[in-house]
Amino acid sequence: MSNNPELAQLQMLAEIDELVARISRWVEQDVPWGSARQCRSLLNRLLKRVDNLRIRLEAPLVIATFGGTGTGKSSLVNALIGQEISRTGKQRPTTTKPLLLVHPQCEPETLGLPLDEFELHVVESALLRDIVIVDCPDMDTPELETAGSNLDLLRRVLPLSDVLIIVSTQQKYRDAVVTDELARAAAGCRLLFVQSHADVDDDVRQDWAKQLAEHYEVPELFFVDSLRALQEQQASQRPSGDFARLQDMLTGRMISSQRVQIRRANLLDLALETLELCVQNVDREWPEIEELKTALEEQKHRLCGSMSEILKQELEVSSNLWERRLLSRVTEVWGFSPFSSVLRFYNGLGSFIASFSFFRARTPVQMAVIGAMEGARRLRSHFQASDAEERLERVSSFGMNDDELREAQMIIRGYARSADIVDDDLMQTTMDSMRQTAAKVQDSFLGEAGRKIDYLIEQQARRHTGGLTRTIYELLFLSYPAFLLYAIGKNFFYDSFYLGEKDLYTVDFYIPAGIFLLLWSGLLMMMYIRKCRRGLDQKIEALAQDLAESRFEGGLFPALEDAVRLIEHDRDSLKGMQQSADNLRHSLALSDSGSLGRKDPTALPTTVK
Amino acid sequence: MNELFQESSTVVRHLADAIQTLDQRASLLKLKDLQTHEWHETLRQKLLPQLGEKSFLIAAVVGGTNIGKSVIFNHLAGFSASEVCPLASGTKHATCLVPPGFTEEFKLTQIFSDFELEPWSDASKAIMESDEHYLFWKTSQQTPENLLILDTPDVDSDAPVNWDRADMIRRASDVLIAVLTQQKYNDAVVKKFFRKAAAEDKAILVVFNQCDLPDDEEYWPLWLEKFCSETDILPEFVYLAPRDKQAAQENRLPFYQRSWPAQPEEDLQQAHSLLEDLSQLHFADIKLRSLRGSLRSLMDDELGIPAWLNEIRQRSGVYQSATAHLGDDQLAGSEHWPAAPNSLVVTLIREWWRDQREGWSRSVHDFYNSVGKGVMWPYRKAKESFSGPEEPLIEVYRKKEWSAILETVKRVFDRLEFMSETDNKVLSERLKSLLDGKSRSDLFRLLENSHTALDLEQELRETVATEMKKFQQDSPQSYQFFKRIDQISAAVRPATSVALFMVGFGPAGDAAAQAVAHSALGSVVHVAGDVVGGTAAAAVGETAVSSGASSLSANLEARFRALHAAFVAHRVTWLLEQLQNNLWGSFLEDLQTGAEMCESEEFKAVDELTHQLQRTIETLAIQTSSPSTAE
Repeated sequence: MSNNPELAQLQMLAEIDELVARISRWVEQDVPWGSARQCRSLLNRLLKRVDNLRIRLEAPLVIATFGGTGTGKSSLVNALIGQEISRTGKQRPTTTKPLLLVHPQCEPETLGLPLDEFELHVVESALLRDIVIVDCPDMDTPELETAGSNLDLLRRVLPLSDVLIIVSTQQKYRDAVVTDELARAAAGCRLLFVQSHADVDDDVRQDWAKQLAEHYEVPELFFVDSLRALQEQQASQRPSGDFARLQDMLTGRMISSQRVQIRRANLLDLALETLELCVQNVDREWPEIEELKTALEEQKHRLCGSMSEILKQELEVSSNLWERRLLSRVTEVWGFSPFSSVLRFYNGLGSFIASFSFFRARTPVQMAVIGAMEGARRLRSHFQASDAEERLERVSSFGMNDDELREAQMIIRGYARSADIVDDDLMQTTMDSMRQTAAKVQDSFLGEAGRKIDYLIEQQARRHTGGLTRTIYELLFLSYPAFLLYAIGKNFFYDSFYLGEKDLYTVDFYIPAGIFLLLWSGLLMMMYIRKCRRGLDQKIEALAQDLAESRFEGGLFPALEDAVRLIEHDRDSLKGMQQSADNLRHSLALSDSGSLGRKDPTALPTTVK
Repeated sequence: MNELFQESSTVVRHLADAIQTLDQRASLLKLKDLQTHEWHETLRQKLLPQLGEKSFLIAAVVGGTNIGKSVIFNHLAGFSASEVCPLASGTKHATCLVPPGFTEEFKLTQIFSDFELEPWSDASKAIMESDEHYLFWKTSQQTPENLLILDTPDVDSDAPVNWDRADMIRRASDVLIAVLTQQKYNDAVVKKFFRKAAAEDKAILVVFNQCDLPDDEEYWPLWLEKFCSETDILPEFVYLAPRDKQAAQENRLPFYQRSWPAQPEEDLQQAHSLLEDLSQLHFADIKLRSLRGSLRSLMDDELGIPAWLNEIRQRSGVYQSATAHLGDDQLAGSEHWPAAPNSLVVTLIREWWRDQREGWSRSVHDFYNSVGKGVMWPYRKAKESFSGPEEPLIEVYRKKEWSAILETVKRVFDRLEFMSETDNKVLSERLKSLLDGKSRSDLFRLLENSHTALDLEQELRETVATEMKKFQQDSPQSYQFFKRIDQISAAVRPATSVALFMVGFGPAGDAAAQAVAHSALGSVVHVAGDVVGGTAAAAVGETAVSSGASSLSANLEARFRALHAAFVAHRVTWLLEQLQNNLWGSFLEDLQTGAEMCESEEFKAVDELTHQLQRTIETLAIQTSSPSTAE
């Protein structure tokens, strides 16, 4: 904070503006949750009052009287301005329409008050130079809270005032109706407590202060005799006792200089109280949201678990597919060489046979094993070719069947209902949309699985394509053709041509040699495959485990999950706003106008009937 | 007159008991607590203890907080009986002055049954803070015979327990000494309190306390007129008391009587004794009036017992419509239930039939059955190795049935959701707990557990046994006929088997098996082709059997259908039982009870007694209105 008070004030104002802007931004957002909507309508009402307060930040303070019938509100007003303007009397109720007392120099239109509701009096009085006074009717005679009643009028007028003068007497200070009504009106107002009828009543200020302390901050109570004060002033004397102090307070030190501070503090108190209420509302309903979240998580987990279980089983039985993948990868790495040609030949032969046999990749998992590239191509063509029915078949063959989907849907619906999220758009209402989502979830799961399998194959292939292994196998493989070549060459050039002792080898030699070549290459290949497969089973298991535990995004209820995330975020920002309002209030408390009371915004709101 | 009161006293006593019983029975309708009904409290606090007793009068000082109730009470007592406190809401407990000898004749605990009675020891007791409702009583020589005088807590302070205590005293009393002031005579709460008193026809004395005399002489008639017109009170006496702290402190506050309606020139400064005026009252008259007033408020159409009964009727109506919504027949949905697999049924029928065979026919059939199995073995193995092991039929059925169960549960939830959206408050709490996510997932878990644990095959077997037994008993001739054929078939069996083998049955494959199975099923309970039928049907599967089933003779087909229906009925009953145990609990029963509430004995008893009391009151009204009975 700056040392310059002027600057500090500006900064504070800017911060309040920022808070209000945050609140209005928050209110704009639509969140599909009952409690959040309630909070929004609450805060909307707050914003209206805030607007009103901000418009007249610099206008004279509006000071209103508040109290039960016969407590001497009008007498006090008359005494304050030193003239008999407001009707006083012994018949209850005396004042039925609120009086608005303004100075001739004041333009009442600038006050932002609904002037038709008031009986306007222009009064030349020193007191009214910086303030306007509203003399309100009582709240304890009307029995019905209908529109247009005294009480209704009072409830519309009171929120427009900045300071309430609560007037009470020995008979009325613990009146239940007045107490309730005060709890309702006091938010966002500074309060002044006055016990009237000092001429006839006992001083009960101590007991009153004790009663008030629970919900209000009360620095000081005044005990006044309005009638005498008026007489004294009419006789041009200075009023005696507490009354003088009260008058001083309203004319002097605080009011003119601290107008902005008071309004600002009122605004902040009001905002803080409303935000507290909102946070309370939200917190009360929060466990239901938590439960919904857990339930969604559980469903996701269940889906994920059953998918990875099936994946694991299928991966374990499709051993021939693993071999084909591995071999094709190995041959890719090795390029062209004798042994790799042998491998390629066998692999090609295997694929050729597989393509019209039982071993064709038929399930989605097998497709994933075939490989992301090839698999994706096939899946795509598969989607294009397959109609909805076939797709559903895949879903039920993998992951969740219709019954499980329906069960999940009903359970989640129950949780969402308890959490007061009844927006049907968020729920999967038809089986068809459930199935579509399940298929999507499955695809993304398989996509993930495919990538992991690719990686696994790559790893496995790399481990077994080292130079040494290759050399050994190439040499071993070549040793037989080399031997054959040697034998044939020896037979042709040496034994038959040079020595002429032996005949040339006939078919009798070549056929067994060919068969042995085949057997030799077959043997080597099997050895090599065995080598490659070593440790693969454990890895497949680990892979399935890994997939089961991976928190992959998106479950069966994507819209609902989004909504829950939105609600969580919404609550966080609400709490954030409450926090900053609280901080602001604390920093403001230091510079607060000390002699005025106010409602304690953090005290639990009393139940207003 | 007195007999009438005696009579109504008996009726009221019965009525009170009947209401208690009905309230207990109707507890599931979630009615408001009886204690919250004004009429019930009147019944309990006024009518039960006072009706038909020897008459005594209860007078109570009542009014807003801090306006001098205790001062006036002390004046009546003649000494400082209740502490006067300058702070509001001072008096928190009632104090009662009792005439000498009263306690020997009456029991105070019966008259003030809701209060904790304690003998009065000193004035400060009445202002202590306590949750218990105390009533301090003291015998006072000054108190007129048969008159109880009470001081009460306020009716308007921020301590609601005080209002309750004041209300209790108000109901019990016959005379109210209403203390009013210039500030409070027009307060909404005060007016409301006295309006109730007026409705109960209490005698009322008005005291305007803290008057600025003589200035207020011209105002009090205006105040009182307003007060009376808004509360319907007609005061018996009116007094003014001046604002005089000193006199109040020393218990010598003067009370000036004024006539009402006000006489213009009246300005009497003669202090009256309130106690004297009280003792002048016509006790019996006032007692009758207040009892009658209380009875009338008990019978009030909008606030009394009739209104309570209407409330019960209305809530019971909600239960009725709910019962209609949740009728079993609509929910079970047996038309969607899957039928048991035909081939399995046939197998089980065959099993049953086998158990009925005796003697040589049995051994011949058994022998050929084993041969048949042996012949079929390679075929089965081959089939298994080509298309994987086949799922047992009963498991396939179990899955289908689970779908049907889910479908049913969904219908139940949909119905409940619909109800909870359209429904009023009466059932919403229970519906909510039935519909929340946890109870749903619990239900599914429990259902699934018991469903998978179920031995469906055994159940089907039992159904088959029962139905076949029925067949055996219902049409013994057909049964005998089939049995004879069966025996004959045993005799010719070697021949047919050889013939079948020769035409290429056996490992030949589906087509042959199907053809043979078809013929085998043509006579349902396999006649000739048992060798093939018994084994082939299981291997070939359902298609064969169902196509075979179409050629059943009408009678047997009907039998077969009945068997299916019986099984489905079993299964649906099972589901309903499960739902009853795991979902509804006592809900459906409660719905039934609630729906039938208005037909119950208890309800009728209250209704009848209410009418009876109504008639008594009407007679009373006629009699009391005639002037001769006033004394």
